[in-house]
This record gives sequence, structure tokens and C-alpha cells, in this order.
Amino acid sequence: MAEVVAALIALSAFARSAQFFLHTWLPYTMSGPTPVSALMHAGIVNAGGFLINRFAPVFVETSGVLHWLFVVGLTTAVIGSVLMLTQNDIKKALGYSTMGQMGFMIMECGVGAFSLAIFHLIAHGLFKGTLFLGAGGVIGQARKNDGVPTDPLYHFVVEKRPTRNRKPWILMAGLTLLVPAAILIVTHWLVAQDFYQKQGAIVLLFFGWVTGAQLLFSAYRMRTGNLGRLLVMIIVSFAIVVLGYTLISHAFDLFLYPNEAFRAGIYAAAGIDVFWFDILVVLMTVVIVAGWLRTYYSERSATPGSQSANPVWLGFYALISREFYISDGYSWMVRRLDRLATRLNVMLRWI
Amino acid sequence: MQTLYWMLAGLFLPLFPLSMLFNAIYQRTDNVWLRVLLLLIWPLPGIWLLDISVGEMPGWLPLWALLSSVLYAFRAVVIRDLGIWSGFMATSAWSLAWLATGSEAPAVTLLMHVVSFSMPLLVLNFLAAEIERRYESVYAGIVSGLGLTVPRLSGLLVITILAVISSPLFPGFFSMLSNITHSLMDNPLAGLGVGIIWLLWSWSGIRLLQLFLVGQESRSNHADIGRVAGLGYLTLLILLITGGLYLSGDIL
Repeated sequence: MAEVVAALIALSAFARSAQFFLHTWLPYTMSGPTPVSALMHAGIVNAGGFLINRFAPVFVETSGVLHWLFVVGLTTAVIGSVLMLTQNDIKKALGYSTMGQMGFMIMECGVGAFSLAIFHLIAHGLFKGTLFLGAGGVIGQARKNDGVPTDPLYHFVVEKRPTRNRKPWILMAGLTLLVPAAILIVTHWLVAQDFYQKQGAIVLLFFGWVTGAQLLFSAYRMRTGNLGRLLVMIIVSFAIVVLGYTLISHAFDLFLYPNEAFRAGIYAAAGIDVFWFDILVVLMTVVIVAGWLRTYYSERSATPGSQSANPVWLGFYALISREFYISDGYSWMVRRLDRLATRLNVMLRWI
Repeated sequence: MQTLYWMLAGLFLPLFPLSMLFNAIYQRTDNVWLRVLLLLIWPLPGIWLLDISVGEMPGWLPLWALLSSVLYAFRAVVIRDLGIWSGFMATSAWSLAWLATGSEAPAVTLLMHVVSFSMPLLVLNFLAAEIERRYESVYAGIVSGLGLTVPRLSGLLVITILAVISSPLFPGFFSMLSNITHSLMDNPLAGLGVGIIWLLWSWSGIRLLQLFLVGQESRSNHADIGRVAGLGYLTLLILLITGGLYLSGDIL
């Protein structure tokens, strides 16, 4: 019974937080005034994470529901981010960004990091609200003057042209491994002796590593005259991201779920077999690193204007630009239902 | 004889196709006061018949009631005439009283169920009369863009339709909640059915609002609803919320 109840609660959280297949309403609410969008994206969609947290005692009693949460959240995070990249409307792009963030939040619940989802929804509410409220100003300003100087940063951000004078790539790659390792050791010493033996903690560190490393690679692509300063900035931001995932999660855990046995119960409900867990971590690491390498080499070898149109990629792009035909599918279904209801009404003479 | 008895009850707590009689009469009644009277008294004989019934209710009757309710909720999705829509909503809502009867509810509880659905429909009828006075029609699409031309009337229409589709705090919400809870105890599928009905009501209500409020503004020589009349309607809606909060107790 707990499984059914938890699955239904999860379903309602999916609808509220615009998870994949139940997400179409979110980007299409953008025709409303921007402050309303800000309120919706900073507040209403977060209700999914809140709902799951409120019903944490139900989810603790389940064995498989949290895994589904992880899968749905992961799918939504990936698809939301991909759709965001293809939008040319700033508000719609922000809408799909919300979808991706909500997927990430549900995924956090799926690995048992319930309290981290709460931290995430607060942080997301603040930054997404700010972005929406600033969107109108950005559009207005851009209409008057794009104001972008054609400096190296412009070439990098707008023209996507890689800069030539790069810092040693191997140094940056080394940093992505050294900084999390250092933080892992500090966390192990500060928080709990068995910290890195918990699956949830490893997953969080993994997220921290991916996010931080992404940040590092973005910084790497910038050109600066002061290498030492850039390195310090990179290390500090990377450390903040990874620390954020570990220490803030721990602090929120202690605040929201003071009972240690209950906290352990949530992680146990989200846990999977160690063998499969290790396989998944390795697989995801390989996929992410392969993605980075692909990006690195394609940028390195690319010269502007030389890219040929690969039909597979074009097909994929067309699929994304039609948003996987999900909205079209729903519209088709609604039209059929309308026709059926009208036919029934005519048959029964509208009484 | 017993079957005839149930059929008679099914005429007043409408079961399809007996429900067509109520809707035919309701749609032919032009006077708003007569419509209101019809909404108030039509289900009462049904409640009385159920209360004095002696034999046990056949198991297929609640299922029939549920299907009748689904049918009218589904048909209401494409209705654009406020008059026809309110009749369909009344039919769909009153049929659900049979589910409460299945849980052997006393007559007072049944009456509460029926009244909680009828009251917002009364207010809607008065508002429909206000719209008709201004635009000579209550057909969504012909009448549109009310949000900009008559904002006060539009605001009241929004709140009233939300009350009709049983949004939280209004009496219908607690009635539906009780229906779902009781149905789930008896049969989880019936609970799902009530959930679908609720979804269809919301869909049709929001569609109507969309058609009435936005779009090309309809022309009217009459002004927006007066402040005093507006306050009067608002008081009625606040009373409905108070009634809803009363029902949130252990009444249903």
C-alpha cells in the first residue's frame, strides 16, 4: 500500500514540477506577464519537491519508488536542458531551464537527498525569479543596442569561436580530480567518518564534481592575462560548488530531519545494490568525460564555416525544435476528445 | 416495483437517460428565478426517496450514477453556452450523491452534498443573467474579452466558476473530497472515476473562462456591474467559502 500511495504522491509532484510528459504546460505559460512567470517559476513549480519532503515518512517505507523518481528526474533534467539550448525566446528558454532544474530537484529526492532538494528549491527560486524579472530589461536594452564589444569574450560567447591562447588543458583536468579529492578528505574528517561509504553522499559528490568541473572548463575557455588569479578563482569556485553539495546538504539534513535513524532510512530506501551502483557511477563518469573530450576536440579542430550538415544531427535538431512532438500529440488527443464530446452532444440533442 | 422506485429517485438525482428530462426543462426555463428554484427543489424528492428506501440498493446503481456523472462532465467540456453548462454541471454533481448513498449516508449528509454543488450554480445563474442583459447572449466566443470591458463582472465570474468546479475552500471541494475518500474505501476504481470527473469539470470550467475573458472584446451599451451589486455577489461568495469551511468539519 505504501508503494501505491508514494507512487501517486510522486505522480502529483511530477505534474506540479513539470516532469517529462507532464511538462508541456510550463513553457506555454510564458504568454502571461513576466512577474507572473517569475512567481510561477520561483514558487509554484517548487511544490513538487516540497510535497515529496512533506511525505518523506511514506517514501521511507518504500523500496522502488525513489528509484523511479531518480529516473524521471534524470530524464527531465537532460531533456529540459537540451530543449532550453534550442530556444530563441528568452522566456521560453528560462521556462525549459526551470524544467531541467526541477528534474534535478526530483533526481536529488530520488537519491535520498530530500533536504538538498529543499536547499535547491530555495536557491532556484531566488535565481530564477531574478532572471525572469531581469528578462524584460535585457530584451529592452538589446533592442536599443546590443552593447556587446567584439572582444575575445564576444568571439567566445556569441560566435562560439575558441580562443587560441589557452592554459594547459592537463592542469585543468588535474584540478577537477584533485579539488574534490581534497574536499572529500576534509568532509570525511569534519562531517562523518563513514561519509564516503554512503551511496547518497557519493552521488552528491558526483553531482558536485560534474557541476564544478563544468564551471572549471567554462573558465578554462576564457582568456586572461593573469594565470595565477584565474587559477585561484577556479579553485575557489570549484571548492564552493563541491562544498555546497556536501556541507550544505548535511546542514539541511540536520535541520529538517534531526532523527538520525530516519535520515539513514531515507538513504536506505534510495539505495541500490553496490555492484550496480558502482557500474552506474563509472558509466556516468565515462559518458560525461567523453562528452567533455568530444567538445574539446571538436572545438579545437573546428574552423568557422567548415561544419557540414550531418543529416542525423539535423534530424535530431528538428525533433528538438518540435519539442519531441509531445505538445502536438496532446493537441491531437484533445481534438479527438472534443470531436467525440461534440458528437455525443449532437446525438443526445444537447440535453 | 422496487426498480421503479429507484428509477423515480434516478429522475431527481439524475441518472442518464432520465437526466435528459431535467436538462430539457432547465434549458427551456428562461426566467432566472425559476431556474434557481429548479436548482433548489429538483434534487429534494430524490433525497427523500433515498432516505425512506427500505430495500438494499442494487450494486449497479452507484456505478450507473458514476457513469452518468462522467458522461455529463465529459459533454460539458465542449459546451459554450453558460445556461446549458450549468445544467450539465448540476446533473454531473447531483449524480454523485448516489455514491454517498452507497456509503449509507443519512439524509442530512446527502442534502449537504447536493446543496454544496447547487449553491455556486445559483450565483452563476444570476451572473449569467447579468451577462445576458449586457450582451444578449451567454455563449462563450460570441461574448468574449470580458476581462477588459467589464472587469468587475469578470472577476466575479472567475470566482463563481471556480466555486462550481469545486476549487478548494468552496463547499463542493469538501464534498468531492468526501466522495473520493468514501469511494476509495468501497472501490479504488470508483475513487479514480470521481477524480476523473473532477478533472473534467476543471477542464470545462477553465475553457469557458478562457473564452469569456480573453479575445476580441464584445461591444455592449451597458456599464460594468455596480459597486453595490458587486459587493453583494462577493458577500454571497464569501458565505459560500464559510459554508465550505463548515463542511470541512466532520459533517460529510
